[in-house]
Amino acid sequence: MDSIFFSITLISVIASVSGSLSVFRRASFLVATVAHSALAGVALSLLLSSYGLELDYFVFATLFAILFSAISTLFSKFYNIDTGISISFALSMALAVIFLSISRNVSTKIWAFLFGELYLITEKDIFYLVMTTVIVLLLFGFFYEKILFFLFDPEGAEASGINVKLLDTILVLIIALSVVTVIRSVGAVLAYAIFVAPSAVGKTFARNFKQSILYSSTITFFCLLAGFLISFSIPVSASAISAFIASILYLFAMIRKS
Amino acid sequence: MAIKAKNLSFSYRKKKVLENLNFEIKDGEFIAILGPNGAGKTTLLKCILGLLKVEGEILVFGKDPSTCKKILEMISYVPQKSTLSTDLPITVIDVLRMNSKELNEEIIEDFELCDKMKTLFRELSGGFQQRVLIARALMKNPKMILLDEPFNGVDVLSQEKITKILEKVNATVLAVVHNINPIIHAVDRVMLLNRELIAFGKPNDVFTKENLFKAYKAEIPVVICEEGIIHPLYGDQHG
Repeated sequence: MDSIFFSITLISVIASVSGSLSVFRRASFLVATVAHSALAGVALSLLLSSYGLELDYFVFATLFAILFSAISTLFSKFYNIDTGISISFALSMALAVIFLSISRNVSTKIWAFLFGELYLITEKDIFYLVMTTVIVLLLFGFFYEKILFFLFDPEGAEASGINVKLLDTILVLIIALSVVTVIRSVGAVLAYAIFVAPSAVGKTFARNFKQSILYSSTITFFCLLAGFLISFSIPVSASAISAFIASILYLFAMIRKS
Repeated sequence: MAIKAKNLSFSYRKKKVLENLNFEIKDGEFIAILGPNGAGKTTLLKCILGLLKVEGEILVFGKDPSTCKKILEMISYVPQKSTLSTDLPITVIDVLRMNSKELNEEIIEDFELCDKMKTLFRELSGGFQQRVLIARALMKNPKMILLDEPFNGVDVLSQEKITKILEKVNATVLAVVHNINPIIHAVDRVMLLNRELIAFGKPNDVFTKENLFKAYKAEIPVVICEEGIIHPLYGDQHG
């Protein structure tokens, strides 16, 4: 039980920082793309393992997440960011389905990555969570002022000498690593709700950027904990309940705001 | 010399955005840049900042801005407000500190921002948002300020306030504007642009019917004010 609370705390930190970055970067859909491209990576690792080649899912998921983040950025240049991310999303899902179609006996394993299960978290997953939390917080803390400038005023930041391409790459890496680490617990399909909805609520009521992340983190923690506890009473996935609560909270927050 | 451009051109996807510009701007001059949408005004500012790969030559304070990034420490850029993420929860004081950790109290007083330091940027009126952006630009004591449409969505009172402060600033000022009238008495020269340089000089020499027609492809009416300065009318509609 302690490890679950510990994991929920770390997920709340990671998801709130990365979710806020994606929301303020006006690319919240990137979270969904990264989650599904990570799923394609997981599908490839399952495909290989079904043929006897056992490899760590995390490595494949991370590589695919980074690759498809780059593809999203590349596609965005052709038309616009929404179209670029959407096509990248479709491509990653297509690959995931292809890998799964030619794999053998992996349906139950992929289910855990699609919808996530908090109580299936292993020690290795917790290690990845700790490692990602440290990396995300270090990068975010180190580049905080530049990130704030870039998110508020990308042109002004570039004109003041900040290497915005490098900074944007760091942001995408933070988002990609966070999503990959979290999908084991909350699932690729539901990661979007856990990352984006609390961040959107936090943004609406906060008086500064740090406060926005703090609010988002608290909401995420509450949603995940509630989902986990409720799942003991009713036989429904904890991450589904968490995502449901997060979405409803967002709805209430927007009604209250308006 | 603040800026020297020689045969300056810039193309985007094989389309010429700026073509063969030749001009010089002295230290401390206040220049207004006018032209219709798509004339290359913002592109010119980005060329000055060294953010674009240009053909020909542009020197800023005697150096090529695309290779000498140190130049950016001397320049402040005020972008169009539409490029900002105004929904970011960020206070006025956070915005002012983006260019310089040390805040200049005199600038804060000049822009009447003392009681707004903890206000969220998104909660300010358009006029005060623009004041904050220009105050931020001045915080690092720049030698050159580039402003992209500083009067968009700004009321007359704030326009006047901003113009008075820009007049006093000890720096070269280049302001892209659609409507010259708020700053026409303050500027030294006007650059009329439509991909190529249509005219560059004193307002009365630039705002001839021929030049305006050449730039906007339309008849722009002009009036002459008491001081004898020619004011083009409806510049904002045509721009």
